[in-house]
Amino acid sequence: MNAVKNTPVRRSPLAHRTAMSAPDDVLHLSERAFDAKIVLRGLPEALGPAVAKVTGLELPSATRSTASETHRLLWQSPDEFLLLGPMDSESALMSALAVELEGQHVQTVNVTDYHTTLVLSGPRARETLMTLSTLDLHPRGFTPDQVAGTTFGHASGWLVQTVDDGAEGGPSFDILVRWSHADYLFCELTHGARAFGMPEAKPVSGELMEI
Amino acid sequence: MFVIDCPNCGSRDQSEFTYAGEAHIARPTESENMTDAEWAEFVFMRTNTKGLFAERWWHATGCRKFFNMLRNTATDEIHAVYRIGEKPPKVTANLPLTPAGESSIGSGNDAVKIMTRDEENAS
Amino acid sequence: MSQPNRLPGRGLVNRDRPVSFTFDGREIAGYEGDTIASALLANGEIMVGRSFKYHRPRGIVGAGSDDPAAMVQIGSDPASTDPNVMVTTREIHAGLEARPQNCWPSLKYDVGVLNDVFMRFFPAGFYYKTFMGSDRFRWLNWMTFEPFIRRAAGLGKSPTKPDPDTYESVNRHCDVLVIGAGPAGLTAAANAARSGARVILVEESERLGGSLNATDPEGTTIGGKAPADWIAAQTAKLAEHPEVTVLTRTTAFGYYAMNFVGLIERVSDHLPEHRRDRRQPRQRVWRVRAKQVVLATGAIERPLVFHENDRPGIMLAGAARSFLHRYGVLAGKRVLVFANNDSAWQTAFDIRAAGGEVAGIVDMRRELNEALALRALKAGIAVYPRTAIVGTHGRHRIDSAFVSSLDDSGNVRGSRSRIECDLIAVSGGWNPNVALFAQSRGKLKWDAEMASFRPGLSWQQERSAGACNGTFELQEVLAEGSKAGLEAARAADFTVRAVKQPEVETSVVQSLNLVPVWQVPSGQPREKTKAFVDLQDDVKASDLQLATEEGYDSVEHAKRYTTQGMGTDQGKISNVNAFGIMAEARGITVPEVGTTTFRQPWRPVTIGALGGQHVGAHFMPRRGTPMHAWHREQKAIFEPVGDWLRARAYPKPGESFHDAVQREAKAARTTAGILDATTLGKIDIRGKDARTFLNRVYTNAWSKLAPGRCRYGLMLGEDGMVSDDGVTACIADDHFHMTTTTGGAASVLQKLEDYLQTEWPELDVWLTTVTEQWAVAAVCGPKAEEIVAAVVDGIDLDPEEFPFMTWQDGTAGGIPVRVFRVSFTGETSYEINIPATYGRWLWEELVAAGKPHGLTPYGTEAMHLLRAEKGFIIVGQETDGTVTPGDLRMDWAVAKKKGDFIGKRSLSRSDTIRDDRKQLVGLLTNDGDHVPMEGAQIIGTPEEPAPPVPMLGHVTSAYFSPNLGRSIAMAMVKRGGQRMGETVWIARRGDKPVPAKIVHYDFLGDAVGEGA
Repeated sequence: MNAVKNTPVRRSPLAHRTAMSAPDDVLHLSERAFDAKIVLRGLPEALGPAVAKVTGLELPSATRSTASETHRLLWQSPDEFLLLGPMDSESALMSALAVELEGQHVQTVNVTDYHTTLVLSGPRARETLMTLSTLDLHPRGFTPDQVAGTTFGHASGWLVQTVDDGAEGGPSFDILVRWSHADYLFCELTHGARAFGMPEAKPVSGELMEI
Repeated sequence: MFVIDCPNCGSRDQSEFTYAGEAHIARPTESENMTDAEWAEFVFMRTNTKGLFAERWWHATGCRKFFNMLRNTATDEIHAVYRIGEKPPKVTANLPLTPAGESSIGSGNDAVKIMTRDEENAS
Repeated sequence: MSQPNRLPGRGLVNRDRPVSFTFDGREIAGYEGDTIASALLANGEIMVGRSFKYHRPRGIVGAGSDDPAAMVQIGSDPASTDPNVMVTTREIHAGLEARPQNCWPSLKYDVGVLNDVFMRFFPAGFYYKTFMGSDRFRWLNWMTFEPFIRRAAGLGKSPTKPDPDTYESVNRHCDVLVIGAGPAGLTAAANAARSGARVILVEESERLGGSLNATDPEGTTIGGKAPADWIAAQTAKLAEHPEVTVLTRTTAFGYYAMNFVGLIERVSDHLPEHRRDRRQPRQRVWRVRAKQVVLATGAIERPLVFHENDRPGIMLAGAARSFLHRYGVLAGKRVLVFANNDSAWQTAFDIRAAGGEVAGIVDMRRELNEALALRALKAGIAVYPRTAIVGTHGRHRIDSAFVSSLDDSGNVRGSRSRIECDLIAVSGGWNPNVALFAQSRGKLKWDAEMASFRPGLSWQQERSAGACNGTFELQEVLAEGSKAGLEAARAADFTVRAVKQPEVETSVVQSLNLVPVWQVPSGQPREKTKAFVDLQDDVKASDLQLATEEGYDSVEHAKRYTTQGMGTDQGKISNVNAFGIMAEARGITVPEVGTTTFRQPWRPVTIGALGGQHVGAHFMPRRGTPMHAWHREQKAIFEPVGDWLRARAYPKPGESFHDAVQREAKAARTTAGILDATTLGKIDIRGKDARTFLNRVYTNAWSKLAPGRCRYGLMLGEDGMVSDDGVTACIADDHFHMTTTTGGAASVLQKLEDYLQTEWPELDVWLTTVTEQWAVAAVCGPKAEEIVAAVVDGIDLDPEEFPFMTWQDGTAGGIPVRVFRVSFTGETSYEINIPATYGRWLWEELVAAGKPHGLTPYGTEAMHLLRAEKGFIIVGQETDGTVTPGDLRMDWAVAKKKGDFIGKRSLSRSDTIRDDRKQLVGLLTNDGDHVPMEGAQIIGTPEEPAPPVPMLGHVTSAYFSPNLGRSIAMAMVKRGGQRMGETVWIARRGDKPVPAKIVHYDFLGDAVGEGA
């Protein structure tokens, strides 16, 4: 019996925003809030078999990601990977990994609530990202399943291309951004996409600083 | 803005990195036996090289790994990027001509803005 | 107006679209495609403004971004007005309002012209000599004069209100960046594009073609095509390649390290208000990282420096051709050409062919090009060889020139004669536009034939083609452009084959045969010769000569002393002439004089454009916690802590900030308080060597901390100074949860990774930040247990069972929570961590549960006050990077017996063990109502002695404590630990020092009793 009578309410960092689109489907921006997210620290030899067993995924090589219908694995450094899974699966994933990794020199950390995921898709997605990122985001410079930890304006985050440029509706990118930068980045992306007719989301502001 | 070739992530803009000071300064393991002067040398003293300089950088927004870099501080040429624990590779650099001088090109110094006769003859 | 100087059937402006705008309050008619300059000239106007220092009339000299001084103020709205806009580059549009600058009350009658009358009192270095160095004015100083001088001198007026326009900066990578879309640039881009490389072609004006647009369309064919058709064909070819981006109205303003080039695109400046797309920025900065760069930036004509050469109506010869062919405008009714080279003769031929009157060609050379002389003769143009212009006449525009012939040594011979003219088309030669090349840190080479600098040794991945490389013959220009485009593509790892270049046929003069002249003789003494070098900054040849005589040998010093080459034009047309004059004055060669540094930007860039979209609410991320919206709803007052905005206090309606803080701090000790502590840094530490690691990074011992327990730790730099603090919990033998200060979260993680990766790679430890994984609500006070019990399940919260400095896992509404029994207030306290997405829910449940108990939300100000009552330090408030644990009298937190830790050795340095260091103490003012100012100095005497005043230390924190009913302060005081009970005085500006007693800083302990 819980002390609290009310059912817990889960709010994403961008619960106050709605998905936004530019005319003619050239760009879509939305939040995918509750993916399970787990940081895996350790050498690939240790992590590889366990991750394969739990998710069926191979460890990605440097700056790449691997994905299945349900999971995605992002390379972050030679000894760090970020596992994404379905909503509410973080506890199960942590437990399953703990069993497989028992006794090994590794670290698994639940960071489900640390990041949220912005999904930016459409034919203008690359140009929109170019307003904030110094990466080479031309299709020749940034390819499907490529991963980069980088800065977007004054925020930092992880970028991965999840859908090919040739797909219907154009390419799609996931940007994993920490909670407190999410609103800034969401608004910067709509701001950068004004030229494509994107409506503009204004950053939350106007806090009182004195009486 | 430089482009830095991160040993793990590849070519990235300098804005992703944090400078982390001079490289190859090992932390003394038996500092209790050191004199104040010896310890101060480790804590406070750094060379301020004009020319080829080994320095550390941290890929703050990427792989979060520290690495070493050989940079010519007079011209901002990056000659090599190598991992922590490795020795600096031997490189040929366009070094300052005098202790107070500049490299003969690329440094923007007054003295080297115009080609010398010798350079003209050589080219 | 009827545009009397517009020629029918000539020029590239759109005759179907008449456009009118206002200049100096008058309506001026022009066509779409005109610049302000071409429209003014079409209407017979040439004077635009007045000069910087002497307020002399200034007219149109160039036809593009080379013009030195023809600038206007655009618009009058105090928010959007744009100063120092060049009339030669600004396109006209309906509604454009341009006003002359630097003149009052009007352009033609200007009070400041008095400066001109006193010109001989304003020699080089005038300000330095008069106001900084002179004995006569020692009783005054620069500060007294500066406002007056600044008012008299200067150019346009800055806007005074926030800019209503938007700007944007974007990033691009490309294989080949081609700068300049003249014949060389177009050819380079077309050839590079064939390789499939990503090409960006940048053109400063609205039209591709460069110098071909300023050439007689009848006089040249390229591959059998007229220039305009060839340009169109090249443009069409570029459009076929999907990887080619062509940017017009875009200037490459800066060439930086590693082929990083800044471009400024003027997106909507040329459009009337109603045609501007509000979704587009006014201007856009492109930050381009190019694998290879082709510079095709053309050449800049330089004038001749002669007596009275600054009157309106004296124009560069090439500019006159440009106005004729590009805009269909005769810049003068009767044109006199003055030159020392062949190229200017073309101006005479073209103006004559267009039906204009040519007063003659005055050429300083003795040997003339016979073919050209014959052509002039056939055209009926008078030629004056071995002759110079030695003076001019005309107030707001020249009406005549005075010429004299020259003797064999180049001096004026005989009398002067007068030639009537309203335009002097002048050419002293051509300077390859090497600005970007020099910015790239390439080395220049002196070319004696051109008497100018050209690109020498490249430093970055670039190549120059065409006139900017000193190549002027069109056939060669195309060949060079083609070669540069191919080489650039290949150097960027693309494969491409050369194709045959088109044949050029032209009757345009392409020879130069230059005889360098740096200053034309006037036949008059130096002090009477007004031969201007820099028309914007009013620098005369005599100023440069004087500077040389006074010892300013270095070209960089002479520049600063005379202001030569400063201002918005940076000496584009004047610098080489200035170097030549300095060389002559010193009796050395120009390359020996050297050049000043070519700095970014090549031409002025709006600050707004550099700021881009990162302004206003977009300036920086404002980080908020999951409970942020709740704080806003409560009308909390916020404070920035790093990028975070934290609730500082929650004043009730009508309540003052001070009263709110007092109420909150009182409630936290008497009933209960709740604080949003989410922003504390949190690091998950794991590995079999985690304890060893903690022992090395903290000052105290971690070997025996059992799972379930927490410990406070101090972190030092290697210099022994306190850098961070926080509580770390042992989750399991190999697993710890570290907290850091809010501001230190990122730097502590970097430091820990640094030591792990570089100093102690042998340790099996992993670190991962979890700062934002958890939302943290800290509930404290006598009623805290009851309130938390109403929300958290699975933990016996009784302080006996759940003691201080332990933690336990529980749930709230079935969601896992981790509760830490740690305290920053000294009260019984529960810090509840819940996954961040549930943070707001948990907070609201706690607030609801606390309502019957008087639970009061408190902000960071009350938090600071509460911790000060308990004597807890804040890193960065009590410490400033010079404070050791001993200085804080926290030796208890330093384990002497364990092994090495970061900063340990520094704690026994002779300086850190001095017994007269400042130490942390509490201060109780004798007057308990007086709250000292933070930062106030502490002295040892009741009266402030005469300076220098011996200082004992300073106040680090001071509050009025509601729980003690009096003021409290913390302070760093010399030998503070040995001064308990002593009285010191807190100095105040303009007031008597305040006496205070030194006590221990735990005010809830015995400090107050001790002090009372």
